[in-house]
Parts: sequence; structure tokens; C-alpha cells
Amino acid sequence: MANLAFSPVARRRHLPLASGEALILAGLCVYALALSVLPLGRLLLEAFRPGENGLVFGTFFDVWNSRAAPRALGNTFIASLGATCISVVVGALAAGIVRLADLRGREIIAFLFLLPMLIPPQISALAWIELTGSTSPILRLVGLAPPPGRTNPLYSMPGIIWVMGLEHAPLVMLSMLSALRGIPRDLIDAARVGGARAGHILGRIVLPLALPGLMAGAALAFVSAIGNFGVPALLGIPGRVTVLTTLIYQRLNGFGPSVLPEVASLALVLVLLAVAGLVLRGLVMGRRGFSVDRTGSELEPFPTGRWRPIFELAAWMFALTIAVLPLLALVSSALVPALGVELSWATLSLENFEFVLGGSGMISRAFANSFVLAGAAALATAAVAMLLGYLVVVRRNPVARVIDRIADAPYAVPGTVLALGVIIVFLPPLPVLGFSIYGSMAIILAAYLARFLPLSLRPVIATLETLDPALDEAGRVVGAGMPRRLVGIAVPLVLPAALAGGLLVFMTAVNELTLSALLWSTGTETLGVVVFFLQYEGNSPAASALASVVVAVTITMAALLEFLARRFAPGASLLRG
Amino acid sequence: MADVTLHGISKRFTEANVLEAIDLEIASGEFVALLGPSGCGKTTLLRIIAGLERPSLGEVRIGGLLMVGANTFVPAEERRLGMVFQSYALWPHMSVADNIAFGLKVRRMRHRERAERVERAMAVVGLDGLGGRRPAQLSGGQRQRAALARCLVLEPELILLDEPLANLDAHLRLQMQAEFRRIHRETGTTFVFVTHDQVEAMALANRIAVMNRGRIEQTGSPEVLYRQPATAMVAGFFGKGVVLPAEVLSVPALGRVVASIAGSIFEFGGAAPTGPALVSLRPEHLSLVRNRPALAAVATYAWFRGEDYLVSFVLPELGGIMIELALATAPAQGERVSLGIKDGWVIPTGLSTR
Repeated sequence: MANLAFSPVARRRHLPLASGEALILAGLCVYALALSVLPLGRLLLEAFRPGENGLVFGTFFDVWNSRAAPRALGNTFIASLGATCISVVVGALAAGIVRLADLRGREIIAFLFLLPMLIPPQISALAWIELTGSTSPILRLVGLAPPPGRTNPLYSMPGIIWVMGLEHAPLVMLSMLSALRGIPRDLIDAARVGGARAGHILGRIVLPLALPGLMAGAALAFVSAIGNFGVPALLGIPGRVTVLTTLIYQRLNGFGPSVLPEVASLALVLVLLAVAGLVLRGLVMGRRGFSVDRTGSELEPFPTGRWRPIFELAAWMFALTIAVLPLLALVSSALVPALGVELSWATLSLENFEFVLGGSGMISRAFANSFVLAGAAALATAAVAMLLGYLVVVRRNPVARVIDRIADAPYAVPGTVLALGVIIVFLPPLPVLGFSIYGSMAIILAAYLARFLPLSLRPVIATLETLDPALDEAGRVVGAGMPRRLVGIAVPLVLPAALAGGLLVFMTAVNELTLSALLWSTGTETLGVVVFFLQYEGNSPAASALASVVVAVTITMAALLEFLARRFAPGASLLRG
Repeated sequence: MADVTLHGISKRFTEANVLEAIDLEIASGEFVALLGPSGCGKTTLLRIIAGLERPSLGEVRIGGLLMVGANTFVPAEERRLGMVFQSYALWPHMSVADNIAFGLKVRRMRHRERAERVERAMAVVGLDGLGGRRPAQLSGGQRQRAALARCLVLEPELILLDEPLANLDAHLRLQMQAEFRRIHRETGTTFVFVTHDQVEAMALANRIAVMNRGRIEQTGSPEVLYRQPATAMVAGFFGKGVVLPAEVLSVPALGRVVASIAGSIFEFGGAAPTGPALVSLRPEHLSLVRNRPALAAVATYAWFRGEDYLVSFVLPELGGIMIELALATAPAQGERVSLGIKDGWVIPTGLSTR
């Protein structure tokens, strides 16, 4: 055993900050600073710039003394509150159907209820426009379509509220599902032994225990509604209902970067609203009210007995109406050769799909742009998530933990706000390099990298936290340095979670409109922007066709993601996470 | 074979002091157990030796080299020792052979030599032919062996074991105890292991350090700890028996004292000044007697164990302290008996009030 090679050797006698670790940490710091801290920080500074008369906070007061801004704020508030009400009712009903009743095919119903979240807002809005308009193929079938020439009823405040409410209902559903999952079966059994009937158990035990989850979901729906751009852009702009996000878009689009200080002041109020919603959510989540012993088995669905077929019928009707019907309208309005032509076997045509898939410069460019951008964002955020997650969870590095917190900010604020911040930072030429990335794909990518990192990071961190810390320590003891342990031990174990997270990023980014609407320029159109413009130009059959293709891609990827997540990375599962 | 010297090791987490001024010398080739109840700091001490944790104060030397000092901290990666974790910490995505080979790859050993060393290590722990399996396909005992092989293959001069047998069933535990003893004998490597199980500590270690609330109460061979406990905690934690309050009356010879317990006078081993003290009594020191100095006891419960009865008594004169004795015949419940005391070990109270 006298093996000199393995005697304890004190080679280095300084603090254990291996150079590899320091280098990675420095890189992550640059990522967080350039993409999160600077854009959001500069935006705040810009919003508080002295006005033309030199007063402190002058711009801010100038903007808010105008007529447009307070009216947009009021609309944002009304639309968000109204949409939240719809989300809560639909989301709670959906969660109840999926979790509390012993209906057959509940998994499929759950996936249907989730659909509105997977479909980007501008496409949901488009689908509902097609469903309720005078040319609606589905309403015409049953003779309920509004007469030709009448404005679509959705181009209004109630229309915005309805579509946004449905779009965010899955957030309430998921939040309430996780609360329901936390209720131990023993509590129900105890009540049953005590002689309580089903209605009593629901009202007195299940609902009170699920209430914090419902409230947290409602707060999240509210925050999402405040930041929503796609729905008010498609419904509010033609309907002359302006909210803050569309006001910012119209100002910046109309007047260019010179109005940055002004729109920054608008954005600041968006941030405040979003923060208020998130604080509310934090309060609700923090004070769950009850501490429940979660060691027992999970809640079982209630038997519905001979009423089951009726419940099932109602559940399916409900799910199909809110999730599938608008998509059907979307696809069928893509199948007519021109706007206004009635859909029948005789008129059915694939021209629009040929137009969208085959051809024009802008559309094929948009496909390429969106796929490249989404792919790059997915790969980069997945890689960063593994590095950052490792330093946060395994190394418990304090700097990395700060970065982890910062990483959430660009996802929590409305996308419009982030896009403005990115413009402010990247409009001037880059230091050292000397050129500006404004107007190129790079600026959109920068925004994506900031915005979607949390989607990759959460599943990676969740998986790392389930790993035995001794796995890394065992690597240390056998002499492996930090880079070696990262590559040899941590990465293989979190790769599935990182892939699932990357897939989620891809799915979200490939559809995204809010960021690119402010950042695109000729040559860098994204799919979201093109759908928006086709509809804006009045070519709604082509818009519907492109949207249908995008939805098909999204749903395929969602199914793939769910499959991957259930097998390899429980943290990334949409329904079970 | 490396010796280990710990000097003045203290560890503070935000509020609690986990370790307070630990001094411990471990000679080369020893098999030492760190024994104590959960939360006593034994695992933290082991992790400090491993370099996975940094002490707030103190020095660690391994094989004479300074590992931790005022301005020195050699991280685990560079200490070149072996460690077996309680959870075994086998990398689930690697085969058993890859698990064992990982440390050799880190050291850039050539493929042929590496394969040979892995084979040899697997043979030593009795895992021949299982190199291609994944850890998930191994039984608990085989995982333990794989973890041990992963550490033996590097031929470390010091091996640390964190509750190595805690996750095994009773039968496997005995088998692995024998394996650890054999490997210790064959390699001559210094072993330090952590356990909360005194039987396990006695079965494996030459020397045991009993820890309690961040301090070492006593270090010694199992025999010394049993016969001559230095503190009431050691007397109570290590082996069966009872600790009773006593009054030392005189010191007739070096290492002997005469003391009274509840008014009866007995002679004990150990040293203590006259005055109040404690006495550790083991079951073999006690018997039922007549007409001799004795303690009054009341039988409360007896259960038949096969070879004898285990009888519980309360000592009414000592505030109802309980004591258990194995007896050939059981007294009736509530019967008053006299307990004679043959011998015992006196513990000065000045040291035992922690």
C-alpha cells in the first residue's frame, strides 16, 4: 500500500475557488447583467428622466397628465380584472372536473383545458374572431352567424375580457390542481367517517383547503392579463379599446425610438401592476393558512354514481367549446379560398395552406427566423440552466443564488416591458465591438434569452434538488474538480430535465409575438408578427392558415414534452408539475 | 497509512455550535468509531476530515500534512482519501465498473492499468463479474460493496465511512461488518467511521470516541468505555445499566472509593473526591441478596425471554429510578426485594454535568 502517488498531497493551499468555477460564474454574471439587470434598470431610469421643462420625473408626469395614458391604464385594469374573473370561474370548474369527479377520460379533458395556454394569445384571438364573425363557418352551420357587414362583437372590451380570461384559465386550473393534490385523502375519509355527505365535504373541507391555490392562480392570471399583448392587439386595435401594452406598441411603432422615455413611463406602471399582483400571490402562497400533513395518500375523485354520464357529457361539451371549437373555426376559415366565401365541399380549398407553406418571401423567412431564434434560445437557455442550476443547488454558491433570483425578473414583468428595456440597452452601439444589434435577429435573441431562461431553469433546478448531494461529494472525494463533476456527474443526470425545459422554451418562443412585435424589422419578422400582419392587412384566411400550422406544431411539441417530462423530468410536466 | 490529528476543531452554523474544540488523535492503521446520538456532530466532524466542510476554527493534519489551518484549506478534491457515504452515492448513470474507474480516469491513468485496478478492487469486495450492471440493478449489500470498491481502487491511506451499515438489514449488516474487518486487516488502511449504534462500534472499532452535543465525552477501547465510563452520558449511552447518585465517604486506596447510595454503603472502582458523585452500575454488578448492605427495590414487570426473565424494578428511595435485571425466576409484581451491589464505577460529578 505504500503507493506514493496516492498519499495526501496539499498541492494548492488557497481557498477552493477552482478557476473553472470562477470562469463559469463570471459568464453567468455577464448574462444576468446584460440581459436582465441592465434592460430593466435602464428602463426605470429612462421612465424617471427629467421632462422637457427639466422637472424631476418630468417625463413621467407629462405622460400621465395626457389623456391617452390614464384611459389605457383604466382599460388595462378593467380588462385584467374582468379576464381574471372569467379565468377563476373556468379554471376552478376545470380543476374540479379533472380532479374531483370520477369521470372517464379525465386526462384527455385535462389536456383540452390546457390547450388555451399552449396556443399563443394572438392565435386564440384570431380563432375566436373566426368563430364569432359574420363569416364564421361554424355559426353559419347552425344559423347563428351575425349578419354580413356587422362588426365582429369581439372587437370590444367584453371580447378582450372573454378571450383573455379563457387564455389564462389554465393558470388557475394548474394552481388549483396542485392545491387539490396536496389535500390528503385521510381528511376526506375522516369527514366521511364522521357522517358528512359529499356536498358538505366539498364545501367545508375541499374548497377551503384549495382556496389559497385558487387565489394564487387568480393573481397569476391577473398578472398575465396585464402583460398580455396578443389579445388586445387583435381585438382592441380594430375595436378602438387601447390598453397599456397596445398603447406602447402604437406609440413606438408610430414615432420610433424617440418616444422611448415616454413609453418607458407607461411601462413603469405596467411593472408596478405586475409587481402588485405577484406580491399578492406571494402573500397568498406564503400564508397558506393551514399546515396539512402531506404524508398520506392523495385525494381520490368523488364517485358521481348514476349521474356520471350526464357529468361526462357536460364536461366534454364545456372542454370542447372553450378549447376545440375556436380551433375548428380557425382551420375551417383557412380552408375557404377568399374572405367571405362560404365553406362547403365545393369551395373547400388548400390554397391558403399552399400560400403559407410554399411561398412568399416574408412567410418563409418568418418560419426560418422563428425556428432559428427559438432553437438558439432553447439550446442556450438549457445550457445556462444546467450551469446555473449546478452552482445554485449543488455548490450552494451565494452569487449564483442571486443570479437565480434575478433570472425570474424578465419572465415576471410583462414582455412589452422587457422588450423596451432591451431596446434601450442595445440601441446604442455595443461597447468594444462598436456596432448596434438593433434591427437584427440578435436583439430578438437577447430578449428571448432573458425572457425564457426561467422555463429552462425551473425543471433543471427541481431535478437537481431531488438528487442526493453525496453524488457530487463522492466525485470530490475521488479527486474530480468542479468542471469534471459538472460534465461527468451532474449534466448526465439533469440532461432530460434541461431538454424538456429547452423544448418548452422552443414551443413558447416559436409562437411569441409580444417581444418581436417591438423588436422586429424588415428581414427579421417572426411567425407571431406575420400572423398579426396578415390579419391586420385583412387577409384572414392566410392568417388562419399560418396560425393553424403553428398550432399543429405547438400541440405536437407539447405532447412530446409531456411524454418526455413524465418519463424523465417530473419537474417539467405541465399537468403534474 | 495516514494518521489524523484534529486540534481545537470548532464548527458554528448561524446559531448553534455544532462542534466545540474537538481534539482527537488517530494513529496510522487504527479503526476508529465516532459514536453518538443523532445531532451530536459526528457526521460534521467526519465531513471536516474529508474536506467537504470547513471548520470555523482548528487544525486538521492527515499523514502529517496540514489540511486545515488558519490560512490553509485543502479541499476534498485534493485530499486523496476514500469515503463511503451513507446513501452510497453511486452515480446512477454509470455502470459499476465506470463508477469504480471514475477516480482513476480523473487521475489520467491509462486504460489497461485502469481496467486491471478496477478488476482487482471488485474482486476484493466480492463483486466479480458485476461490473457491467447499473447501481439500480444491485442489491443493498452489493451497492455497499461497490461504494467500498470505488474508494479502495484509489488505494487511499485513510478511509472514511458515514453510517456505512445503517441502510442494510440485520443479516447483511453482520456480513458487511466481517468484510470491513477483513479489508482493514488486509490493507492496513486507517479507517474512521461514524455510527449511532454502539454494538456496531464495538464490533468494528479498536477505539471509540463517544460524542455528545458537539464534544467528545470520552475516547477509548470498548472495554474501557464500558468498565470505566468517564461521564454519566457515556455510562448511559454505552452498554446497559443505570447511573445512580451517590455520596463518596472515603478513598481507601488509589482507584477505589467507598460511597453510600440511599444510605447503604458499598465500594466502587474509580476516583472521586469525597462528596456527591455518580455511580455507574452494570447488570452484572447487581444481584438479589439477603442480610447484606443493599438497595430496596420493587418489582414492577417481568417478561419471559426464554433463557431467563427480564425484570424491571423501581428504586423508591431514589425517586423511582428504573433498573432492569435478568433473573432465573421472576418475583411477583409489587414484591419488595434487596439489590446487592458487587462493584461499580464512580463518576465525579464535576465532569458529568454537561
